[in-house]
Amino acid sequence: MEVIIYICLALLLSFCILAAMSQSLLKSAIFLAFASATLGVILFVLGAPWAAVIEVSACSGLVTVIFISAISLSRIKKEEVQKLYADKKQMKYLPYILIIAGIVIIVAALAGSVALPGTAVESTEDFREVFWNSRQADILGQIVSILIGGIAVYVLMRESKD
Amino acid sequence: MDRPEKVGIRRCARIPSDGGSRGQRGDVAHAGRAGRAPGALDCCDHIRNAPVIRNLYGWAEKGYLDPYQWLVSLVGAYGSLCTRVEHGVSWVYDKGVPGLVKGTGNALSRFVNGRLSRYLYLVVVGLILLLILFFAK
Amino acid sequence: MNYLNYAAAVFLLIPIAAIAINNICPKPYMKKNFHTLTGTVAVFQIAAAAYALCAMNANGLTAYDFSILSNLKITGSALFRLTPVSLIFLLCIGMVAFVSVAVASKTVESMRISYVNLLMTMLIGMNGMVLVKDLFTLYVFLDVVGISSFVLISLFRSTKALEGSVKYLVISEFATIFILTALAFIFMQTGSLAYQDIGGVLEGADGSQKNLIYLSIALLIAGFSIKAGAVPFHSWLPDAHQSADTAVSILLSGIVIKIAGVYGLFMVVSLFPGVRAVQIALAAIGVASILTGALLALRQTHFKRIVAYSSVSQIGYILLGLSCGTTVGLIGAVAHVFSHAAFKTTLFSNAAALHEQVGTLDIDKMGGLQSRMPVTSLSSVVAFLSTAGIPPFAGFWSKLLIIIALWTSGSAVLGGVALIASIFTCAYLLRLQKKVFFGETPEHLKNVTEVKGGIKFVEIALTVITSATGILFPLVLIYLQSRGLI
Repeated sequence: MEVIIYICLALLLSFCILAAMSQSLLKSAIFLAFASATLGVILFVLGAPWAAVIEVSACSGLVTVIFISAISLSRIKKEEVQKLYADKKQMKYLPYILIIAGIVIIVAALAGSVALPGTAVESTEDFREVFWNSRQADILGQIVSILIGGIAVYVLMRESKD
Repeated sequence: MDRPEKVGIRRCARIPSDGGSRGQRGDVAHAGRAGRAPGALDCCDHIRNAPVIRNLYGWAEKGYLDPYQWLVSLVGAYGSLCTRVEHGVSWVYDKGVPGLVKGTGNALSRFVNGRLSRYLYLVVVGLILLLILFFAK
Repeated sequence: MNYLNYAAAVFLLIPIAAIAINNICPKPYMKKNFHTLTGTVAVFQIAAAAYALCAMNANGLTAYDFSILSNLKITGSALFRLTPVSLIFLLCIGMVAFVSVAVASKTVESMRISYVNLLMTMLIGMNGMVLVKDLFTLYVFLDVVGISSFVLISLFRSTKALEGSVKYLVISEFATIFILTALAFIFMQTGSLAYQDIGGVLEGADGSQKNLIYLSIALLIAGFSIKAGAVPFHSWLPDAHQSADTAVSILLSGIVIKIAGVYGLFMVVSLFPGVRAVQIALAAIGVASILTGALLALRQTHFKRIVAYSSVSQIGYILLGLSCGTTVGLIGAVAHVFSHAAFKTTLFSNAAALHEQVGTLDIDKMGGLQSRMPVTSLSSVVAFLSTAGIPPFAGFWSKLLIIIALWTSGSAVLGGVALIASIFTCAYLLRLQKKVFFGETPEHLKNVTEVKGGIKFVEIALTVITSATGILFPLVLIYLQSRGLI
């Protein structure tokens, strides 16, 4: 079990770095999907199946679909993005250096038997009841966050009138 | 027959143009002095020119042994010191502190150059300093 | 008690209702009357906070728990708490929101519906932060405040605004990462993030557990310091405050940095009392902020940028007050939060007035405006005197309490530094006043007149508040003394 977590951590790190540093928007979105899926596996192994399901379905599935739709609608050419980074050729190997450094740290943690978080204890209460009875303030905060997200998309992505 | 006193009077009647400064040689004739030999006013020259006393006389002529001169010099030195201190304090207020403040402000302003990468470095450095504060013993 | 419960519901439910009204009512009507709706919400908040403070004092309450959606009889469902300190923060939020709306009536000419929506969500976020009893919920509302701030800064999508908001967003992400990591570590130790469960976590902790808690505290301090704009995490603040619309700058400098940052640090000090490293860290950050903010403000020529760096400097005073760890220090810090809200919003209102009438905020292009804009100049001078800690204005009392707290807690050197740094405060604000309001008036400004409408009203109101708070502050001190707090 621990080995799975370490392997997933290494994959998560690699996908995240590649998603952040890729020069193609489409590749970035796909790497992000893989990163979310890997995180879902970690959550499942740690005993949080509901969180894993939501992570895989929403973040890995739904969000990726939205990203890819937006990228295909915007019709940004790969060459246009690459032009922005044309003067940063010395950074070409940086993603791989970061990934190797991260994997070295993870292997060192594996060799040094660094303690991993314990598996979550199965709760007797249904998480929906816990949510509604004990975490109402969080629900209010989440609803307002979603609202702001919608407003932000409208404000930032609206067409200019001039 | 010689009349030395008449000669002495005649000689004494000559008034030297340099006020008798040639008295040391004893060839200035004036009342009270007799002949070419050193006169009465030079009679104490041998004391005046004695080894240690000669130096004392020299210092006295230059004013080194005059308490009034001492006081004047002391007051002058104190005044000069006060002026230097006042210039120093004025320099601190007029040039030192404003220059330091301006220089530090300029240096900080140049450091905060508007680049996001530098801002992020500052954040990371700040966190490291905090961790050092918490864990340094 | 019922009325107190309704007063408590005002802080969370009325902004939601305002969002609903804003989006349901016809758009042309709302665009014309947006300031009436938001002004009413702000006035409700001020009235509710003032009423709740009086009611709690009259009933001798130090805390009041309430819930808005579920039955209070269910154990653990009371999710929000009112305390006198949180009510003072809520009062400041209402006051600054009102000023922002009054200024926005002149400066925000398009995107009014979105401005109202974002202002109300920001209000919910800030109110939520000071009302919750749980660190994770605090984090959720902190994120709400962060996202609405980011969008408000970039509301008009100018290049500078987008640049300022992206810088704010990226650096805020670091704050989010630090705070969330700290919450994870604390949760590992305590199994709960409720305030009452975290309180004694250090007492039973052994070596490695203590190190983990210290790591969490350091991360929390770093995260909240980023939000507060304290040195060395302050870099985003001047760019964001300068490039945003003035109504938004009023919100950011007047209240957001205090709720999102200072209130978080206040909670850290309350949850982990007596930790020497916390006091040293806050003192170091405080001194660095005071000096760096003042030195950089001396170099600026843009009005809003000078005032933004002034905010960095004044946040340092608040952190110094928190670092004392004494009641007087906490009272001084909270008093400075209020007085800073008053004088900083005054200065930004002056910026709005100058931008409206003069058309520029470059102080080198201004001069001699005192006779042409007498109300703006008087309010600016009063704000400057309060910022510099000159009696009898509000800022004097709050700074005095902080310096006394530093002195009595054994940090006389820090008290001396705080006192000497007031000279720098005087220097940069005097320079600002001289360049803008005194001296010779340039030819192109000879026809400038005083601003009218909402901006003039809030300038006068804030001047009265700053002066009245200062003059009446001794009554507050007498009350606190009668309560045994000082």
